[in-house]
Amino acid sequence: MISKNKQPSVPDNDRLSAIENSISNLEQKFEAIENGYTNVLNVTKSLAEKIGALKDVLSDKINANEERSSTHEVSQPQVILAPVEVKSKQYEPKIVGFLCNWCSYAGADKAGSAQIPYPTNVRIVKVMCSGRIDPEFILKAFQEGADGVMILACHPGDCHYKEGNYRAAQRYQMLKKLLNQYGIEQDRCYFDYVSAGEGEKFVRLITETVAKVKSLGPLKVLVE
Amino acid sequence: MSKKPKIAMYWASACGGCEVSLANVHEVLLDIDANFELVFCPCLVDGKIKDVEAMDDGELLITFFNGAIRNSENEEMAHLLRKKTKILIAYGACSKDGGIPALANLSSKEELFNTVYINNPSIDNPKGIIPQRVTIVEEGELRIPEFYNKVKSLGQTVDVDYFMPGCPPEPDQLINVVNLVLSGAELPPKGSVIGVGKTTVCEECSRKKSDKKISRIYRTYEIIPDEETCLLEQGIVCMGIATRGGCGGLCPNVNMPCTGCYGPPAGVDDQGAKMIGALGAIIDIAAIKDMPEEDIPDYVDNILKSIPDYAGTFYKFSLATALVNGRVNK
Amino acid sequence: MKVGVYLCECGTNITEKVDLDQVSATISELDNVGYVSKIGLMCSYDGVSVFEDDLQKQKPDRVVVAACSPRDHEATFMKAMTKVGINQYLMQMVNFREQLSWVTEDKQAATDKAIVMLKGAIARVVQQEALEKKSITMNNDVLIIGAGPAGLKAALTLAEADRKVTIIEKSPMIGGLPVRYEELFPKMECGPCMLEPIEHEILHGDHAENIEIITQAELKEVKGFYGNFIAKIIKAPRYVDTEICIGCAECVGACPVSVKNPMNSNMNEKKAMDFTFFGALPNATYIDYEACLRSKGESCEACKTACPIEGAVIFDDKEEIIEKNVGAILLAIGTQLYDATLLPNLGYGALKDVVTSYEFERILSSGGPTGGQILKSNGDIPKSIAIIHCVGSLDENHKSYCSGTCCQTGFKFAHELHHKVGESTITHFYKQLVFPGKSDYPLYKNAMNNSHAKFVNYLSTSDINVVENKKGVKTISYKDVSGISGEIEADMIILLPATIPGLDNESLSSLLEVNLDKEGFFEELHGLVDSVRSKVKGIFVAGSCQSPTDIKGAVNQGVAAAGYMLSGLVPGRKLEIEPIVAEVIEDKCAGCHVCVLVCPYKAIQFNEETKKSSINAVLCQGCGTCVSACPANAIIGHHFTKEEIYEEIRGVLS
Repeated sequence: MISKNKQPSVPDNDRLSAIENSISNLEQKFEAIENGYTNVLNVTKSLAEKIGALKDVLSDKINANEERSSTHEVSQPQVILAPVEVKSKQYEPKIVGFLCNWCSYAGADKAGSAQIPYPTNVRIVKVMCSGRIDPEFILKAFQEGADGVMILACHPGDCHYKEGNYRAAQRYQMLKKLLNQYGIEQDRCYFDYVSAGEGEKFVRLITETVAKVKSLGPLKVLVE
Repeated sequence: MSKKPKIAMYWASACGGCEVSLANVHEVLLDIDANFELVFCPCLVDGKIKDVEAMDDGELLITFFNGAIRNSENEEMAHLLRKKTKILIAYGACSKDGGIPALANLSSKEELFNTVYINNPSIDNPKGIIPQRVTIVEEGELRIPEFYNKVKSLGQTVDVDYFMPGCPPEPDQLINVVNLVLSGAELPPKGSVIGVGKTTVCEECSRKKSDKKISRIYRTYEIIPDEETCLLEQGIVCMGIATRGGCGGLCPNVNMPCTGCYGPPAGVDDQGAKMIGALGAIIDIAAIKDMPEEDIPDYVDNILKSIPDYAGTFYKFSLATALVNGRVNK
Repeated sequence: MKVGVYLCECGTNITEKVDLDQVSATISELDNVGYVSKIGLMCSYDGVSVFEDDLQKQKPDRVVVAACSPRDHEATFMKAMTKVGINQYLMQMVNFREQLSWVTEDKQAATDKAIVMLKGAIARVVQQEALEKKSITMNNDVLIIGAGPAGLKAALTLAEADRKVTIIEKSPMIGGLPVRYEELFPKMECGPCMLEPIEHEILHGDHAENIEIITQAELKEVKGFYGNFIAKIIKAPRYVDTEICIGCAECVGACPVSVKNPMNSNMNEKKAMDFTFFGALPNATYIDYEACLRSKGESCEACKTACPIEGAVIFDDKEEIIEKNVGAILLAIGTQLYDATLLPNLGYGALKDVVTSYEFERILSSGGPTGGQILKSNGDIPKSIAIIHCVGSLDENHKSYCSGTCCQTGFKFAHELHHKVGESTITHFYKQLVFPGKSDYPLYKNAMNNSHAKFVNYLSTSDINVVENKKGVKTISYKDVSGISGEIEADMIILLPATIPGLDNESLSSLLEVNLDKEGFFEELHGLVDSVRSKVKGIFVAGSCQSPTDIKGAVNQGVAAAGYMLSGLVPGRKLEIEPIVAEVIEDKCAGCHVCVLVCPYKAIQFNEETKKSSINAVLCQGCGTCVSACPANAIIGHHFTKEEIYEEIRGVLS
């Protein structure tokens, strides 16, 4: 901001009282911030306590479960939070990645040029625009045995076709809720924006999604 | 013995509306009777399964099979009637796409039994008794059909010749099909969907349609829609765009949104996916264009909050044959 | 079906991480795979010729190439296929390098993924169809709307390349706004002097025969698309034949009717038969028919009698409808100023001698109401002048953007004031000052160094209040950014309102289906790399109707648009239509209108007679958003069909 020292002179008293006012304003704000900080501290403390309590409950449950299975009782497995090791180490999820030609596919190429390694689980299906990603494709992928789906679009404002990514984003919001009703976890259908320059982001998203889907285990859609 | 061709109508997992649709052809019923012998229709005619079992294979010219396949009895009857019928028609939404019974596919068998027999506020069942396939009583063993984990369509169970959607199919469409068979004209290729319109409900709906852009979605009780304008344009989720025509646009023409009973249009595998594809496209993007990307989901969710039940809205009649046909097992 | 699979080794880029022998052995067993060939470096000259020879020998029905990213060499291999007579769209590329060998550490994992990728491509390619590029003839003529600097320079550029140009201009004169300004920033050049040579070139230059100017004309209707627009233009009667009028002004003197002069913002009067201003081109008068006595049923013929040229005054001139076939259209309709009465605390419209920048330009102009003298409305020289910058700008309640040109205008005014009324004090009220670029600094410096000037930085226009006492003395009370209040007196207040979209942006937007942005300017295809193209193919935008700009910016955009039109509309060349477009299957279209607004390129039209949508393949860019929006799957997205994608999904998951 450019301003020149040609402002009309103002009596010093006025200036002084203006400054005094702003100082008292600032003081009030500081006080408010301090109060907020104390609140946050309290909440954190109580959360930590709750987590501790939860941990105890969980370990009790796991112990109980182990006991039950050792006594060969015929019962349905109850514990959902089974330790991850239970699942086979060999399990490699199949994930279909729907990428748009101009940004996210180019972002994947960028990761290639930079030679950043990432897991091999994602099978890329290229379309011209994320707007072409028909919700039928995503459900089809699940039907055909995909354990997860990724939809990667251009960032808002970057779409080669101006608007396709917005429509993809709107569709995803609906699809996510439908999948939830199907019991398909949110982590199995991931939507994000990747630009042509974001090779590292692409690798990060792939790696994270593969890890998440791996921990969720295989998905079987068509069961009678 | 009558030389008239024999026909049958069977009621599997369904509400009975399909039988009503047969009664609804009014005086044409006389023509049907003049030309066919309705030998098996538990709702209307006295006939026993053993009579059907006694028939030669293919002795029935047409069977209008309505209802979904919910249990082992439905399935047995489907196999039996398939065997005895020349032209097996999956009649009605339940038989063609699972219909409303298939919405149960969103819950497990256990959840369904819990709700129906145990946790329902109007149930008094202190012992928690739920149906068992086999029950031993003093007199011996009692058996009931097996309740399956998922509802299937007829086509997912046996080989079906034709499909006639609708909840129920429009009487006019039934008359068309009967007339077609009577005319001796060449029948459409096997597997065809018959008694339907050419495209979607929109083509038959008389409301005024224009280019679509919606910025709010309303539930039907929230607004009194204009009587002439397309309901979807007014923010009411009308399934007509993604529903096969044939009904003549009955519901939208009386100010009610289409709920999709004729199932997905030709070439569409998944009615709900197409609704999402279309709605996601016509929800006005003007606002999210200038939004930080992390704000977009909440904004869109806010517009969508008036759709409380996606599967129930988008697959009210077609969940069994949808790409993902219900709750997944893991 | 015989699918030929080609595996490129890419030197060792691919083979290092992918066991191509293992891949080949597995893939050979798949359905439809006719053969698998390995080529060392497929994109090299030798590699391509091996590929071509092999294609000729094998004659596959479909081809899969596993090599680098399709973004690198898809075009190379497509060309090779075309060369040997196989439709180039019957090929699918697999990205073995960027998306496999370069990003996978474990060789077996890479090899397994390679097989999966190929399975997808093979399943997909089987579904692919041969697509043909169609071509249509194009009209190479251009229609330009608006005869300001952007439109005129575009017209000249096009005419010099022998393109036929029609310029339509709503007013009776050409030159736009700057021709009405006495001096132009940054170098204080004379506006008319700078623009007149351009105008003369247009009217009488070597290529003038390529340019038709239709003044007092507006666009009524446009049909068609890029390469083939049909434009209907309405030309209002001028009542003077510009071809034979010699501009002698005899008629003006004779005319008995005086009316307010809109050119000078009604600050003075003109005749019913008059020039827009002296020196305006075309150098011919026109009749303001509503003011003319003849419109009131009187039989006045004063102008015609005074006119020395027979036939120059045409009383029975009629409205004309002119039809033009053109290949492209340029929108260059200019701008207007934000309505300063919407900020009533500034006194505009209510108080005398509170003027807008345009009005002050006219006061400065020798053709203006005061003949170029800076005078108040009572004829006195103003002793104190306030220039209020950022009026309506940088304000969420008015216009949030900075117009970018008002600062220079304000500094230009300061410069003029210094020269013409040197002793007067000048107070600049501003929110932000901008003077980007290599030329703008001197005027700023000049304004700052003016010993009679002072600057007040304010935050919001609501912090400024203008009142007038009974003696007509105006007082500006204000609060500056640091919250300090003050008061000054001013004889004259010049407001610099925001530049806003032209009056006709909205009507032309709906006529041409060109989008407006949220501020109402014509929306460009891309803000950085395509600011002169609209989203409608073949319709270009230039100057302040697209975004606030100065003369330089407007002219550059005009010439840039001309460049696009010259490269696109080449005589003898046909318009090649990409086959990767969407197409409506009429029988399946229910006429629900879902698709129409989904297209950002306005390629989808709804036929009210057939009640079906159709897609113009020239305008379609092939994004496929409408395809997935169509709830009846009645739109095919060629080369990205549902069947192709489904098979690819099945393939990669098998």
